[in-house]
Amino acid sequence: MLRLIVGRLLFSVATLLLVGLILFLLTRLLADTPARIVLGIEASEAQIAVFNRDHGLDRPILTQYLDWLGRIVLQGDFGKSFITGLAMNAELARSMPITFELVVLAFVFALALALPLGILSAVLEGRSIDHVARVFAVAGVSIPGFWLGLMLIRFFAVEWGWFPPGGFSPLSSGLGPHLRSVSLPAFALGIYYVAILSRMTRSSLLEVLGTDYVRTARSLGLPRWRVLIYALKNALPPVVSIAAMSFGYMFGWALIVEHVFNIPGMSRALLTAIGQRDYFMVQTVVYVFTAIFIAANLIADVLNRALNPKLAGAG
Amino acid sequence: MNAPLLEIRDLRVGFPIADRMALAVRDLSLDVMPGEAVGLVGESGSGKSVTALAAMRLVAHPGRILGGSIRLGGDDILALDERALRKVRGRRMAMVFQDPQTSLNPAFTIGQQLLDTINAHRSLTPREARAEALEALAMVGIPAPERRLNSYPHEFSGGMRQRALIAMAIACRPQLLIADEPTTALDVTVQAQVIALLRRLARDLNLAVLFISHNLELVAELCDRVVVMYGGMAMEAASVEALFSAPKHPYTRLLRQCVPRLEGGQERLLSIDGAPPVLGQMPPGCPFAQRCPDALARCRSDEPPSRQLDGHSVACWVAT
Repeated sequence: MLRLIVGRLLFSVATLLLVGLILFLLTRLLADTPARIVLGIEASEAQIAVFNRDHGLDRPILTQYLDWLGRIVLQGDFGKSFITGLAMNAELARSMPITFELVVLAFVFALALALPLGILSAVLEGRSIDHVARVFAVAGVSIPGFWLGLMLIRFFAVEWGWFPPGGFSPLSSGLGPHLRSVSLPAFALGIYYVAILSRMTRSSLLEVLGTDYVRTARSLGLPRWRVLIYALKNALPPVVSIAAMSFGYMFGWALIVEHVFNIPGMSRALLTAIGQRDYFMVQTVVYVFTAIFIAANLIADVLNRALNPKLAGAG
Repeated sequence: MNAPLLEIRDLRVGFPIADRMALAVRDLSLDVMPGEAVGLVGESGSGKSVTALAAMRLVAHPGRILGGSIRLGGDDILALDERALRKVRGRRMAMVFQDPQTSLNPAFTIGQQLLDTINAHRSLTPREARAEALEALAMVGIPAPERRLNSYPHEFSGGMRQRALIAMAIACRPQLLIADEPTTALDVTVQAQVIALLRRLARDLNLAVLFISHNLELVAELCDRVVVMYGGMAMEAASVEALFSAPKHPYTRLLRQCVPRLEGGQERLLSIDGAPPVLGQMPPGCPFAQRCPDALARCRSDEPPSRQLDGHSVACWVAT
């Protein structure tokens, strides 16, 4: 098991290095060099050369990449934007926790609803709860998050006043207001994944419930809940994998939801950066998202090996 | 003569095919006496496995038991609700299935699966339950049971898995063991071991066995009585000796000839011409009539009733 985790970890690190390199190269290939953006199109070649030398942009790309990466890995320093001169660390520290919290809340909400729903509709296949869950799932995947967000604001905030229509109350302003301010966005973000994960749980569990070993368990007179646990441990791995991916994707969708609800998370930082053609900021944010995505998949991998001893043995 | 342990009367099991129920088992009657080993023999699709599953009330949806009665020790199995069924399954009767590769849960240790079975039926301390589990493993001849308790199914060979499954089936000392082709998926040498194991267990635990197989040789080795099934019906039932020495039903006779014998010096393998009837396209009359060399016109129109003939019970118009 330990060997497996170490192996997976090394693989993840290699992925991160590669993704980092690609990201780095792509931003450097853009026609708008930082010097042009900052100094304007009328800047002379000499001025640009000075700018490039000051910011270390005249070095070979590989050196620049290793320097950038080295600072992140060794010092936890994401560097400064060439455009705004702002330190990335401060930007990330300001907006990242907000987005992260939103995604975690939406993820927990999605799992907490999807698993029971999926299990119920598998166990009660063809009964009314199964049909209700199916309708719910189709609606969940079809309704776009931003529209749902707008509708939530329209009714739950504006019409009935149960939740604030937008904005973000930090935890320092009290737990109640804080939770109220993130409820609607977390719901809007999570509902799609409730649909996806509950369907996944249902189909995976249904498949396992039809296997020989579940029949064996029933033939031995095992209690119903025990049979369900027997089945679940075998049915969960695909759900875990999809859940991990969903966690990563949620960061992408969170940007839209944040925008709709006017939450000062990564969305604002990223959109500002795109508007200013601050590719360094974009690159940093994308890189952080990539790291989160890879970490989530790594955890899912380890979890799945723990659920399935056959894979663990094969390590 | 004492009462049968398992008494199946006029069992009918159907599967929906094209809007109607096709009978996979037709008016089958069968007795297993306490401690007796009965073989249920037939080709694929003859309804023998469905009969076994029906006895456990495990016929998979959309199949359904349509009629007849199944009694275990006098209790009406068909009248039990799920809760009562759970007390019977694994405790009073247990089943061993055909494919040991897929019949064990890959995500739990052998010990866990064995303990769960024991704990489902008996209130024991963890220490006692563990002792029972070890004893069950030892009884089925699994070496070093202490160590094997913590193994996962994929660490077992096919034969060992089937032993582990038998251990689970007998862990709570049922009176009846239903074994559905328990050796079909195994190597020939392992087959013989498993048969020997079943014979020993039946003797040591006074276990009645309903042994389902397409292999007459194996049935002869293990069983006291044989029921031959075809097209969902019992064609002939008799003691092993009587059935082998003087088969009455034409189908049984042909089946006997299909078993290859070394000492006979047969030049080629015999087979029965034609194929068994397909579920849902069952002809009227005797299901074997189309392939039967002795068939009369009547055989193709009227279903033959079961009748007694020299200690055999035969469903045939022509058998004498």
